Amino acid sequence: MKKSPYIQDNGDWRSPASFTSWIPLHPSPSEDKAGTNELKERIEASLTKFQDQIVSSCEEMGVVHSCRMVVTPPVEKENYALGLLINLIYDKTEVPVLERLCHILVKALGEFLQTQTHEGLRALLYRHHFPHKTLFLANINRSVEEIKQEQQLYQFLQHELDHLTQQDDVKNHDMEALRLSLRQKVVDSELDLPRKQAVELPVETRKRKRWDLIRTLSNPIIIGLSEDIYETIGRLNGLKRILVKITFILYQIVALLFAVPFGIGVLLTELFEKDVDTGPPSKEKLDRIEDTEDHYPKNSVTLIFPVKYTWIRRMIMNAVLSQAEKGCRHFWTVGKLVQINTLHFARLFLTPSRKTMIFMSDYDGGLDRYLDDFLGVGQRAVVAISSSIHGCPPTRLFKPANMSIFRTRWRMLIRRHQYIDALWYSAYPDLEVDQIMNHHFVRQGLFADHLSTEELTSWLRKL
Amino acid sequence: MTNPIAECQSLVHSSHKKLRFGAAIWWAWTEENVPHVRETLASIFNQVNFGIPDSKRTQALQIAFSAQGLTLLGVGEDAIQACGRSFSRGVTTARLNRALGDRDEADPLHWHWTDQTAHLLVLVYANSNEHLIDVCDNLDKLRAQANIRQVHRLTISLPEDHREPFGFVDGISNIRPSFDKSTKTRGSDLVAAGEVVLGLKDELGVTESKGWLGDGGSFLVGRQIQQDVKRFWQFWEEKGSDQESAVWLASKAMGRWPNGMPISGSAPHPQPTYDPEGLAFDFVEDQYGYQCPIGSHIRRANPRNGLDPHHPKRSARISATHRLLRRGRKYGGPAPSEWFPEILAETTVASPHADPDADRGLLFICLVGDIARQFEFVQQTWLNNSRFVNLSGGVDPISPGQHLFGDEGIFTIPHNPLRQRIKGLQSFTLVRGGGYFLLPSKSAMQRILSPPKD
Repeated sequence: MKKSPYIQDNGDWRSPASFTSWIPLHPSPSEDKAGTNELKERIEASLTKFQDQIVSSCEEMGVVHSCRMVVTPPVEKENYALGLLINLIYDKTEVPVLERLCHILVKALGEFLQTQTHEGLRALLYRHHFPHKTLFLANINRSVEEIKQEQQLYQFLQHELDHLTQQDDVKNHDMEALRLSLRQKVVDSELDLPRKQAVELPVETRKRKRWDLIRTLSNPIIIGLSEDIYETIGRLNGLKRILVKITFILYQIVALLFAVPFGIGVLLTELFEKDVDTGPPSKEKLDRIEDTEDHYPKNSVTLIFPVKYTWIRRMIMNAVLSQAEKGCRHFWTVGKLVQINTLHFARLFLTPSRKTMIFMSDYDGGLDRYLDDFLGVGQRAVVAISSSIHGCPPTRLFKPANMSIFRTRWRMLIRRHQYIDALWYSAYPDLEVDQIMNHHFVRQGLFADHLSTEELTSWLRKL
Repeated sequence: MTNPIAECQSLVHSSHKKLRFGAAIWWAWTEENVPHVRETLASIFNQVNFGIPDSKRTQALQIAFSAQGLTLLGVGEDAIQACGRSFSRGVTTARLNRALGDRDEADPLHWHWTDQTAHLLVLVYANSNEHLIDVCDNLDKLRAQANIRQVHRLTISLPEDHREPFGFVDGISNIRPSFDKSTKTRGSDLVAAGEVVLGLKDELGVTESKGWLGDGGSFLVGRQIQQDVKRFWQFWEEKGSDQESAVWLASKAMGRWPNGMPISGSAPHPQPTYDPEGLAFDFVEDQYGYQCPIGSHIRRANPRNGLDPHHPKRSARISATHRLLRRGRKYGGPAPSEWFPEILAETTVASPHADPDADRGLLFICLVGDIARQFEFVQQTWLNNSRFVNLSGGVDPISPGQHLFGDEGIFTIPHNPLRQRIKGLQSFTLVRGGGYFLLPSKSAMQRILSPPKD
């Protein structure tokens, strides 16, 4: 496969890929806020007008998992004027996703762009392309086509089973024979269903993954992810698990020597910095945001935060996001970011000046649940990242200094820096992370050569 | 807060179950008659019960305000905002309609009362019907004198056998706020007081002040849920081969037998004898829902340790942060006996002389410390979620929202080796009213009712 110029090298065994660009819009906004807002609304209206075309195009291509466009106002502490933030999560194929979208975007936003041709826009998008610092994928290496096919397969099997359970003697069936007969029905079906197990990663790719893991573990700060590493080790079998565990314990002792100074540096920074409370967002803003939420079981969130104004904080933010990326590549690989199982995709970026951090995610359920997960099971990662955001309540060693204050203020901070997507497309807005995993499990089980009694019971339970 | 136990209204401590007769009355006023409203409310303030109630009481009165009502009474915007966005905005927003499934017929536009149309909820409890009428008549006189409008009124009751209109025992496995840290055990029905009383430490370990207005009080979430008893039992009788299996299937959907006993088994069998010792259970031995189906009403409302089969302790910890202190009561008269399967004819919510056209249902009331984390979460993420714990095709089979994503009217009964799916499930309930109210503490109520300082 020809390598795309905008796919980052590290972690490229993972699919889908993420492409993000933040392009300036034309004309430059006037000094007054009202003028800027008016211009922003005009641009958003233009995008809305072309929303159906963009959505149909994404659907036709069949490789776009998620597409979002956010019209961003001028950003504090940066030289960004009014801009368009675009993010695409797409399968690595030969389909010219960007090219297709550029054709529509030029028509939609022509008067606001510095270029009037789709080639020009594509060049602009590349020029302002942002590499992600952290990319979390809940279902690694599942293409849009596979996810949809597996959903269809699941529904097909459900239907067949409903039919069977209406017959009285179904409980007396040999369950393995039942599985094989279901498999035959799938093979004979004229529907577009998967007809074999999903393929494993090629050997070459696995080698690159292993090499990246070695490089990851060679950085002593990785012991900040010890809990996740132990969980990953726990998934190994027998003797291998014991040996790897012992090795990691020994490694931790050595790594501590390097990690402790980092921890002391973080603590001193936290102790000596001033607590700045940026206050709640306006009621009107909250009303507007809430109007866009909970239309589907899946929602999206875009946050643009100013990083705390000191160089050390920018450095800490950079280090934490790098660790989070390592976690996403090697340890948070089975549907959960830390313990959060409602996230499909999360991508975090730092602007070149490191003064601004951007966070985008697609998640299941309501925002309140999502934020509760962040402060609950996901606290370990989320607070470490948040602690370098301007306005974040005080932390101590990446833990809330006072949870009572932290909870309320942190939630307000999120809402304050939240931006409404002018356009958000999801290829499967009705599917949750767990369901995608469940459908995949059913597929793999259906086409397995043999299942033990225990595996068979577990497989049937998923149906 | 000096003495939170004495400060909060008695409903926090007691469901007033000895006072089986009751009424829920919703009042509203205009800016012009606020001085009279304040006088009237001040005159009934002494009747409002605070703290642990006296066991010999013959009546109880509880009062809760909507954010609108407080604004009209002159409570500052800051104090109301400090109580949080859920309370200040109320339940009728477009986003909540989507999330809670309050759409179509259940749209707040069709409701008898909301937290926007009603400013005050008065809950009256009495030990006899005569006594209840006396108290309500007095209140009505005061209301008329102050030119307060009655938005809606429901006669509510707690039947002797504690059954809700479908005939199932209600109110089992309710939480109790623990004001004493030493008695608190995680995962039990005893929860941190902050889950119910504002300004106290909650299950997340957080103590968050809601200012003078909120602290010591509780949020009261009210939902008037109309129940179609006839269609409910008709449906299950159609799905079951006989009465016994109809009751068994309905019990699988509820998650308990009508008499409250835990549901079990993979084939219909008679209801077990009531045993108060056998009511409590968890899902450690039933992680896959072979006994109590994962999609059943009670399991969705309180998944206990059954959210994740591999992590029961973590599940219990999560569930503990989404519990509700339920204080609901049924409204309307009994339903005709012939609507029920014969084996349930003994229930007090059935009567051979009942009016078939009467409106009946449940006035669901719960007290919480965080509306979004507790009530809205349970409703949106568990009850109304067609993908709850890897299910598909169905939402809460007993009291679902309307027009929900992925709801194909399917109820799954897990069996080993193959599950059974009941199809064609419809909604047998309809929300006819709802709102978020604040059940203020004694000192907050005194301050609300004191005349404004010029």
